[in-house]
Amino acid sequence: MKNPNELRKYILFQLYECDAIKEYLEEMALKGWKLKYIRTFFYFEKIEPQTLYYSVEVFSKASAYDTIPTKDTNEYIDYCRQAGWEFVCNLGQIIIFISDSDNMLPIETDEPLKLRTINRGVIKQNAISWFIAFPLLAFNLFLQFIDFDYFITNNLSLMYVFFYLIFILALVIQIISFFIWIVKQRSRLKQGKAIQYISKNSRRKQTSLQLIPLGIMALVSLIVAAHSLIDKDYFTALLVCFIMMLIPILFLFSHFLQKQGLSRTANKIIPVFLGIGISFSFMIFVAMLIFLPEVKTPTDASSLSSKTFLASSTTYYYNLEDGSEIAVTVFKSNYSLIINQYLYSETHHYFKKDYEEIELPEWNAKSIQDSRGKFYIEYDKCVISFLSESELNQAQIDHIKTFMNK
Amino acid sequence: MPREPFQTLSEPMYYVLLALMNECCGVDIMSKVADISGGRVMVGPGTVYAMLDKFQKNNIITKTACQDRKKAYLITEYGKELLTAEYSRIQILSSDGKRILENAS
Repeated sequence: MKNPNELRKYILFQLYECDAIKEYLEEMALKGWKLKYIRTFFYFEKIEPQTLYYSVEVFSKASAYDTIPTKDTNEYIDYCRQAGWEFVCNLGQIIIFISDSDNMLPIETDEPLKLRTINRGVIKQNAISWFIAFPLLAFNLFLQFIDFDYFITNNLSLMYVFFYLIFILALVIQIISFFIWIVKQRSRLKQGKAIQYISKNSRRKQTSLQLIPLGIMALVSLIVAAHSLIDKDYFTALLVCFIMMLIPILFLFSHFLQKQGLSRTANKIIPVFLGIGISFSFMIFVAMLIFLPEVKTPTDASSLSSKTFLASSTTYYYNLEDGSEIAVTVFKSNYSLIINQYLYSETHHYFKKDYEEIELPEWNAKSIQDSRGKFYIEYDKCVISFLSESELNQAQIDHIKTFMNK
Repeated sequence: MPREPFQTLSEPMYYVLLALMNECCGVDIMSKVADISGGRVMVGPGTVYAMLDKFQKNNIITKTACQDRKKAYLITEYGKELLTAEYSRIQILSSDGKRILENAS
C-alpha cells in the first residue's frame, strides 16, 4: 500500500445488489473510510469514523460503458442535489450519493418504479453476456462434440470445454438467480410489501463462491501446462500460458480504460478493436500449433498419437501388399460412455445413422462400415478404424491387436 | 396484454401533474409537490426524474424551456384531461364515501 490514507477494494456486484453496496459503504464509513471514486476498484479515503448515509442508485438511461457522467446523468444528479443528496461518483449505470443527515428523503420513493428501473438496468448491463456470449459458448460446446475424436484426446480442447462449462454454469446461475429475485419481488409488491434486497452477508458468500470456479480454472490451466511441458508439447504449454495471461491483462486494461474517463463511444469501440487484436494473435498462435508439429513428425516412427486422461487415439501406418499405405486408428478409453459417443460422432452425419453392420470374422468383434467405406471394429474399451479397399493380412491384424492392450 | 397506461394516477403522479399546471422547473417539482400537499406527499428526486421522463414520452407533459441544463415542463391538454378525469374520479369516491359513512354514523 503506497498511501496509508487510501484504501482500495475490489467488489464485483450485480445492479440488483445495490442495497448491499449501500450497507457496505455505510459500514466502511463507521470504520473511517469514505468512498472517493470507483475505477474498477472502490477507492476510499481516510476520515474520522462517523455515520454517513449512502444511496446507491441505478440510472437506466446511463450505459455500462459510462465512466464520466453524460448529459442525462448530470440532469439526474441535479435532481438529487436539489433534494440534498451529494454526488460521490458514477460508474456504468450505478450512481452513488452521500449525506450526513439521517432525515433524507429517499431518492426513489416509488417501489414498483424502482424495481422496473433495476430490472431494465440489469438486463441492459448483461445483454451482451446473456444474449450473445451465452449462445456462442453453447454453440462452441456443441461443435466440440461433433469433432469428438479430436476433442476427447486433446488436453487443450478438454480444457476449453471445461472452461466453457464453467462459464455456462456461471451464466445460468446468474440468470436464474436474477429472475427468481425479480419474480419474488413482484409478488411481494403485489402483496403490498417492500422490495427485499440482497443483504451484504449473502452477497459476500456469493462473491467467495464466484472465486472457487476461477481458482479451479487456474489450477486446471496449470496442470495442462505442466502436463504439456512433460510431454514436450511446448506449443500447448505456451498457448495455455497465453490464455492464462489474458485474464490479468484484460483486467488491467479495463482498469486503465476506466481511469482514462473516456466517452461512452470510445469505451465501446476500444474493447472491440482489442478483441479483434486478441482473436487475431490467438489465430496466429493456433496456426503455429497446427502447422509446426507436422514438420516435427518423425519419419522413422510409424505412429501419431494424442492422449488425455479420458481417452487416447493412435494412428499406425501399414504397407499393404498392393503397395498402398493404410492408416489404422486405435481409439482407446476406459469409459464405455466415451467409446459410444466416439462411435456415434464418427458414424452419424447430421444426427442420422450412416453405417451398416458387416461381418469381419478375422477381427472377432462387432464390425460396421460407414458410407465412406471406413471400417470400425468395436471392442470393449477400444475401437479400431481404417479406410481400406484391399485387406490387411493376418500378421498385420495380429500386430494391430497387440496395441489394444498397451 | 396491452394495458392503457395512466388509467388511474398514483398519488405521487397526481401531485406531480398538479404541480405542472403552471410551468415549473424539473428540479423544483419536489418542493412544489411538498408545498401543495402541505408536506404530506414527498416524491424522491429519482422518482420525479423517471416520472417526468415517462409523462413526456406519453405526451402528458411537454418541455417548455431549456436553460443551462435546467429543463422546465408544463402539462399538455391531454395531461389536463387525465388530471380532470382523475379529479372527478376522486370526487365520486369522496361523495360515495360521504353518503354511506355519514349515514352510518
